[in-house]
Amino acid sequence: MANEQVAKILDKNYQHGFVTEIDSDTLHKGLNEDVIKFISSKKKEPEFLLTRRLKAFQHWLTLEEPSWQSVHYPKINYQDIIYYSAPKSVKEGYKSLDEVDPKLLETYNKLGIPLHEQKILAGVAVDAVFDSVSVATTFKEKLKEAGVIFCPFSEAAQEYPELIEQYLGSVVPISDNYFACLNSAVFSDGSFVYIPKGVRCPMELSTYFRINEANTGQFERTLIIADEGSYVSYLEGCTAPMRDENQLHAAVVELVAHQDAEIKYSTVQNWYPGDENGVGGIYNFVTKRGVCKGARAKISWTQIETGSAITWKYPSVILKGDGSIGEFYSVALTNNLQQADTGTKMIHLGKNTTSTIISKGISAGKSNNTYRGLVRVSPNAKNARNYTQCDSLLMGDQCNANTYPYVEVNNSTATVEHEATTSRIGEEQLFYCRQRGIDQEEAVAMIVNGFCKEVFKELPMEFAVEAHRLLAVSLEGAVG
Amino acid sequence: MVTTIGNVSIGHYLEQFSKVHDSLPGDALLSKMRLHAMQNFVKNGFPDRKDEQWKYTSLYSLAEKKFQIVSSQRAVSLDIKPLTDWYIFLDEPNNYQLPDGIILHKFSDGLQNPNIIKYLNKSTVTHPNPLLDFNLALMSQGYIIEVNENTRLTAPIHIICGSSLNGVTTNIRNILIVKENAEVSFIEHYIGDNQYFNNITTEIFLSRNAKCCIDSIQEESADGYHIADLFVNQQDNSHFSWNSFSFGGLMARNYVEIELNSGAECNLQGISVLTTEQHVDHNILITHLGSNSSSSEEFKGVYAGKAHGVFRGDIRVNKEVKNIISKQLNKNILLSDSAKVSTQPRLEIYNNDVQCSHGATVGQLDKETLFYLQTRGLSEDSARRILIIAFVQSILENVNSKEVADYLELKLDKILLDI
Amino acid sequence: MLEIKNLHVEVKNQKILHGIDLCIKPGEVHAIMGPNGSGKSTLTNILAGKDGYTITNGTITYLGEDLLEMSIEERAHLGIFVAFQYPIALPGVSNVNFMKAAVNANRKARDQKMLDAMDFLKLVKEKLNIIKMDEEFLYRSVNDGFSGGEKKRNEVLQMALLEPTLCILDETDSGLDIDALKVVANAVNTLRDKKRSFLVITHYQRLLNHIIPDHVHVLQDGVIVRTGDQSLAFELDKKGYQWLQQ
Repeated sequence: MANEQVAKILDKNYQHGFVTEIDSDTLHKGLNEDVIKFISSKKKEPEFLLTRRLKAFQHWLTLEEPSWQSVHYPKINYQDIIYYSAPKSVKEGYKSLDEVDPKLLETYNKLGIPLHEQKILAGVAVDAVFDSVSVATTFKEKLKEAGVIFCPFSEAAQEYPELIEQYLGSVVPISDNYFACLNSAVFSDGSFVYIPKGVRCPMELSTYFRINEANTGQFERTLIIADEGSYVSYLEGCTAPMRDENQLHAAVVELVAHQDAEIKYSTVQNWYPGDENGVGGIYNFVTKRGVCKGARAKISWTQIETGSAITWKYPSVILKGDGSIGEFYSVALTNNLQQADTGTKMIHLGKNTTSTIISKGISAGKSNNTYRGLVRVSPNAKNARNYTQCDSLLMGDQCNANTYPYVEVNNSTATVEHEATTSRIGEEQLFYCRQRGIDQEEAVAMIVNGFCKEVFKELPMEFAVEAHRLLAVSLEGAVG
Repeated sequence: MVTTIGNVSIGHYLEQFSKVHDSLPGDALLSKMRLHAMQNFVKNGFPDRKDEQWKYTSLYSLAEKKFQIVSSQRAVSLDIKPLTDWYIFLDEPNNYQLPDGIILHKFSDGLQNPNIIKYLNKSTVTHPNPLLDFNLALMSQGYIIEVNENTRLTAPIHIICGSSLNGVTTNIRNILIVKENAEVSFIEHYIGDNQYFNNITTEIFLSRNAKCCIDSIQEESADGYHIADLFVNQQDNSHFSWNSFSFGGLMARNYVEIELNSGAECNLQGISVLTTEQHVDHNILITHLGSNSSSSEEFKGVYAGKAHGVFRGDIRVNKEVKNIISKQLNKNILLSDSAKVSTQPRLEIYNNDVQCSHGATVGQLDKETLFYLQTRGLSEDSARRILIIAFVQSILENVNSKEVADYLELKLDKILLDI
Repeated sequence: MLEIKNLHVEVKNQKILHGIDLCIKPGEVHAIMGPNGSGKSTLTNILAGKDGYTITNGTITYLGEDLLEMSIEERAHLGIFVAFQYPIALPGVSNVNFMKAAVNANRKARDQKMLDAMDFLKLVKEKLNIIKMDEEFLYRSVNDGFSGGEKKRNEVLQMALLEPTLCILDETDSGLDIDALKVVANAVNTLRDKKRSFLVITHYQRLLNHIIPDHVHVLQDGVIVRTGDQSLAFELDKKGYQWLQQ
């Protein structure tokens, strides 16, 4: 391993914990209809969106916060959260990156996401979301030539209202769950992607989410539509400053894959996890769901979850089209006092549908790591197939790993296989590496990376490197 | 957290209770316990599917039925022959011939005996359940057995519970206390005719180095309800094995909760073969309290008709315990389009010195193998029967006695002919 | 180079070694033979620094320093290499990455320049010839799904790459067919030089036909009962370990 990488392993701090000093338009704390109207008017939304937001808010008021999950946190005061914050310098309709505030560009540079197109990794277009607004989207023009729409959600609401009206909430309806409902009322920004019929998106699309402002919740909304026979690979990255208070991130992501289309959605989630005493950190309560609408459509979720004080999400696939495919590859790592309750739902509705679930959980410190997953084969899903593998690795004797799969088979032609193991990191393996001169910390990183290999290989190259590095950093001091 | 169906039939049972209360066995203290338990039941009613423990098993049809409570029932017109020389008919409190070291208490005597009472209702109950209150309030028969230290049985004791009175609920309470170094094995056999509701709670206490095997054959009436809760407390280095064979009942639920202290081991296995609209639910919680303890579970289900098989296995490994090995496997075969399986193989690990695995599969009989057997001249039906027997073979091999193995072979043949 | 004096070792309060003395000079090949349960593997693990052993008495000096004070990886950096009897698998960790990490960890500790991917690949391909393995071997997970013979070859490949000073071969011959045995033995022989020493631990004499030892020691019930040259190995093979007990 290179010197630099070793140095990074030895660096014990969360590396994205800085704060950008920038003037922001920040709404007062609290939530009511006026706040929602304010957000909607700020974004110059069409009427139907405001109506939808208000409807969601009314419904949300009737809901109770869920309590069945294996994560625990003090009651959230929803009146103590700021629902909208945007850097003042962000103007709508910027023509080029030259118009973007240099302070913001500098922020993303520091995070390793250069937004200048000449400097950027070739082949990746980036939408950078800072608190409640998108500050820049790269390669927009080039993508437009291919017919691909990739823009901030708020822009899409103005430019492509008919697409938004058709698809928004078609996968995650307003009433779906407590946090999705809240999001439907107050969502700020996010990305919108539309890939037209038969188009293979010429580059990786990526959104980088950054929470900066204190006391602010982030409620992004992402909608990706892959029309017939199209293909897109989308990456999502997240960071936040180190703060003593907990911040709520309640996003909703909806994917729609039409006949023969494929969406590959990868997440490297590295929100601030809180310190080693569990102070601060992001509550990452996210609803992600895709529908394979047409025949032979394919949706693949890959997630590397290393950050957040609490991660609570189940990226899911509804396999509606005959012969459609759903995949879920996950690495969830918890250290110190982090908590994760994550997994997936594969809902088989169409004939000959196939799903694969590979989940790798790593718990260290005093953390709590739960896999929860549902595989449901409905009576009409003839010849449905599922393969699930859930492995947990425990490091230290203070942590906890749970595996809660639900398998519901209502069709005799289905084949469902579930395998799971829980074990500790192998003393013998560590001894072997150390006998070869490799120190403990690097040996641990190596073995854990090996444990996660089946998931990492699903990631695009740049993200795979990042994921390796993140695991090593996150496991600092976990063994030894 | 218990969520319940509501007050369906509650008034009925309260009325019934007040009628039989005075005739139920036990002293004044127990009578008070019964009253208290009934109050709890009345307050809660039958458990609801919103309760995670009952997610896939609905008690609505049971709750609606309004069964009669009788203080004891005699099973008539059932043709059952004991499989071994030592046997007990639960409904006939005779002086049975039992081997040395086995003390069978008469149910009403046992409930007045301080040595027994100290075990009554002392099991750890992780998931409170109104039907346990129902049982405590109304228990009227069951086996209460003490096994003396160092007792070794050469053959199992066959305990037969027959039910044949239509529209009746019987609350059966079994207490089994196995003292140090004793080795025993039992065949528990539920069999019946007509529509009834058996609510069974069994508490087993295994002392250090005790060994206990139970083969449990459930062939209740096709209209019967069989709700069985089994609690096993295992002291250091004790062994427990339980083989559950579920063939009968309109609805059968087996809840099993086991606590393993240091060096204790348990092996739980089961075969469920269901047809028509039968429903069977195995819900098992194993808690590793002590180091060097091990557990294994293997449950196989074959479901035809509109049958629904449910499995939930929880394995908990507490903090501070070391060297735990635990395995759990649930395999299912669906033979018809309307049959269903819901399975939840769960692990909860609070410790890193563990080796745990679990697995679940749902599938069908292998078409290639079926074809192969047919090319050898077997009919499709007999080829299917052979493959089903092969599927459950690994469990049949582990039954505790030859008598049971032979009995099951015949039984399976008979059921499979109807599938 | 290595001096073991009066070494007593216990595992879980059970005495395994009761007073071992052994002195290995640079360039020498020592063989330790003994029946199962004689303490051979314990000796290997003690030299490598594995946890779980209590040294109740005695000293081990390696290159003039107290070996028992060193961590596992420090020992490796100073050139102690163990070719294990049962090398453990590292699922998902590619052989080439593992070996590169090991080589560079040692180079770093020895103040040598670390190798980049290209240089390393060149080096490893050279060494692959020694054990007669295909390049494909490099991209598999370490020891994962390897046959017995492949595991042993992999150990020898690592040995060749890490250029150790003291090579400990723990039952390297077990589970090898005659062709693989020759490949492994030849590889070891090419590594022999004036500065590098070997400690060959084996149950049978056959490996010693291919790797000729300077000294042969017989370990029985935790003590060295006899020391001699290669002829001792032949005699043992003929008469069996029983012979020494009479």
